[in-house]
Amino acid sequence: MRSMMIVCTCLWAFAMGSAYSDPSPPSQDLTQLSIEELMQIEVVTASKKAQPVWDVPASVYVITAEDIHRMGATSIPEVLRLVPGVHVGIIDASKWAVAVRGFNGRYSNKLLVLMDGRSVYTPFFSGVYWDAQPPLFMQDIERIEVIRGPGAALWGANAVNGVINIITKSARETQGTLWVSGGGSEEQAFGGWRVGGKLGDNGYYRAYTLYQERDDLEQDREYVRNNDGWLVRRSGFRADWNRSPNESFILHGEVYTGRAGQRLRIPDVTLPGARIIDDRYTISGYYLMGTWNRQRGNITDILHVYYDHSGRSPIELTQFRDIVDLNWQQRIQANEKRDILWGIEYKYTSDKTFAGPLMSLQPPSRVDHIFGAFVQGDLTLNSNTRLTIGSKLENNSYTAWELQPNLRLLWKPNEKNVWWGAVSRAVRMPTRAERSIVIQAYYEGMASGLPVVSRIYGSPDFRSEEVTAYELGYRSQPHQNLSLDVSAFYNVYRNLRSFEPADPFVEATPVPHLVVPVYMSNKLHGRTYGFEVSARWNVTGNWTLDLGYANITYRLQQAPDSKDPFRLHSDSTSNTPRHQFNIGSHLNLSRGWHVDTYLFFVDRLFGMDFLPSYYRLDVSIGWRVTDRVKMRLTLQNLLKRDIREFEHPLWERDSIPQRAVYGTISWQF
Amino acid sequence: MAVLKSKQIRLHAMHKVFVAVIVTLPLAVAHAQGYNETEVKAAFLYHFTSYIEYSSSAFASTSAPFVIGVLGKSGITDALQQAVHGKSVKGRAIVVKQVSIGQELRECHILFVPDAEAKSLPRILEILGDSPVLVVGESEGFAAKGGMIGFFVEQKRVRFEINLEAARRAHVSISSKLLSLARIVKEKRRD
Repeated sequence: MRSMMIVCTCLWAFAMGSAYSDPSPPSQDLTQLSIEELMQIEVVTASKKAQPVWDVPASVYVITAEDIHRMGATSIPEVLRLVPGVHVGIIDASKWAVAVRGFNGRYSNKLLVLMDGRSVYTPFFSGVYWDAQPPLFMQDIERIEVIRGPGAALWGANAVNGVINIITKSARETQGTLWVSGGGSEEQAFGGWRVGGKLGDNGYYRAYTLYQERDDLEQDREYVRNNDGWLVRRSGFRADWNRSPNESFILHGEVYTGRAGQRLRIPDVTLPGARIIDDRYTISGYYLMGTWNRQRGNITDILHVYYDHSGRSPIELTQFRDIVDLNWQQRIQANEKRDILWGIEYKYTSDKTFAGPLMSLQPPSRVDHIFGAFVQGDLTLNSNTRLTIGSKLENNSYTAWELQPNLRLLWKPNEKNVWWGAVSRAVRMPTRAERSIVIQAYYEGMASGLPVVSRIYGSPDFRSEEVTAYELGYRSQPHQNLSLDVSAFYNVYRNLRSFEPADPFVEATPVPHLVVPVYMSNKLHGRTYGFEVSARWNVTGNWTLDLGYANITYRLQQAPDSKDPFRLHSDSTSNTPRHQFNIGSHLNLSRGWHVDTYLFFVDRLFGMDFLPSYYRLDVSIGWRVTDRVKMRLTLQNLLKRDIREFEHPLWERDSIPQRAVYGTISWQF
Repeated sequence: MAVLKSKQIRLHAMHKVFVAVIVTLPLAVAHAQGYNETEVKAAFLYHFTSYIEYSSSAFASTSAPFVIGVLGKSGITDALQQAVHGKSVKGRAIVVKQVSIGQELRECHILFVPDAEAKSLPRILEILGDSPVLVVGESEGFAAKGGMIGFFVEQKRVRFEINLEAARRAHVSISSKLLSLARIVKEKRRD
């Protein structure tokens, strides 16, 4: 720690020193560039006013490439900490809990995550295996749009509490060669190559390969390694081809393989008790995706097709999954006042699972089909009012037809103020697990001389969870250096997942023991409400402050016939902090130095365990050595030696992230 | 043990000081670095000179310079002067000068209205009438409010929108190349 402080202080001193010497930046003669090239130059923006989300009647927060770069983040969940209303908790070196507007957990399931239109949540539990997702080149991300609130009308089932839309740069914007390398205390090593070039007159490509390795975290504050280290290798490409100014093709592909570890505490009736086992497992997958985009007059067609294969083999359950998705959209800009978007989608999912000692699925393999269609109209009512109305109709193998409508109104009294409101309905379809899983959950102790274990069963009667959301938002730019975004929500949920115990029974093998069966059911209802505030203040031309605050209150009730003993403890109800805030300070110094400081506050969590509230301070110091070479030092968790951010959902031992430091160097040529 | 503890406390205290320094120092060192955005806009203005056709009456003589005026005090004046230094357009030298509200506005070929002066737009348009002056601004909705070209920033890149009606009124013709790169906006007068 001490050496880290010294390094940091030195760097700081250096930054300060250079801040006071020669203040003029190296300037390039921009007039030598063509006007098209000028349009591609990124500039230091003074405010968010021209942001495209200004006029969107939904609660949208955009993380830009600049935000990602300045944070020095190596994974998407780390970046999502910046968004008020999103809760991110590290579970262990390869697992994160990420949720929008509540209901967090490793298996949090009310969030849709898309990468360039490819859905990356798994239908297994409707959540995301973050260990199989990017690190792609973080430098390749153009922006991440986080939509808080239901996005189901457009995106479809699972977009109950939010949509995270990760958009990568076109191959045209990633020309040349990029080499990135780095390492540190927890982020042990990462690095990669990317090459970009032209294909004929109108085509561009990039191809990349990269590697990332993360150290084991510590266990239970005892400074014992928790066997949860993680490494992943990933290679991929993207090609963009413009056949004409109005017609373009995009092809993406990627293959990845990795290894992750976990230390589990599993029930064993022969002991009787819980046994600790160390597990190392493989994650792997590949995908290929094509997009065709054509504009003819006022009609734009987009055809989007992908194939995705993924597999993982942790001890609890080995699973392989194939997804084929076809999606066609058409946008008709009938006139200035009417803009209509409609589309159809078909998704094929096939899985194959191999039961482990802790989980099994019945049947072990299954094929599902989802058909969907949506239509959305944007109608300009008068010069400052716009109405958006739309719905998605979806047919799935579990619950047949689901209608998910929404109505949104935007009122822009003047250029500096925008009000919006929305009412929408969204559903989360039953997952494969909720219909057909059996989980050996916990060792519960002894009763009548017999060991007792609890066992969770999926239920063939499990229905969709539903939400009706009422939202209100306001964006303002009270001063040219200050922008403000406030949104409030009131969500009414029906048929949320509950866990219903039934009568215990005796099983004879391997030794006689008592099993308490617990069935997944839909006997939880209720409301959540809260609000998010974000503000950006350009204090001076080279210093910007970002402020964010989020608040959520739960009012959930069991149905009268529910016997759920976990209501207050299950991952879905209480693992979300009531208050969260963050302050980000972004400072540009001369000679290409910049310093970014982030302070996060996360309120206490009441899960199985009580986790106290914490402050987390991260500092990232970057230096643009030349236009081609950049260096960065990232310090995480400066306030405390370790912070336990989130608890494990089932058997895993707790992992505690330590204070960490890592450096990155990138070279573009 | 006690020694160890006091050492820990001292370290802890040092740590707090360090954190306080990290958090508060930015307050002290915020001083200006070059405005990238301004330089880019200046380069755009230079390019505009060759994409605009004026009637011959816009120039006093065949050798008269091309005048880019900047309304009021603005950092872009310096950036522009640097950008056009030693350059010419269609055989005319380019001159950058700071102007203020009054008849001298009509002597410009391009008039740039910085954000801080945006509220004077109605007054400017009144003075200019149908004089052949390309009015460029950077405030939000500048073009829709009667300006001809308005800069805006989208995804960290400088873009511009064009109000064709306003350009037509001033008999300034904008090349199709420029139009193809711009977002075309309609006039939105508020009474």
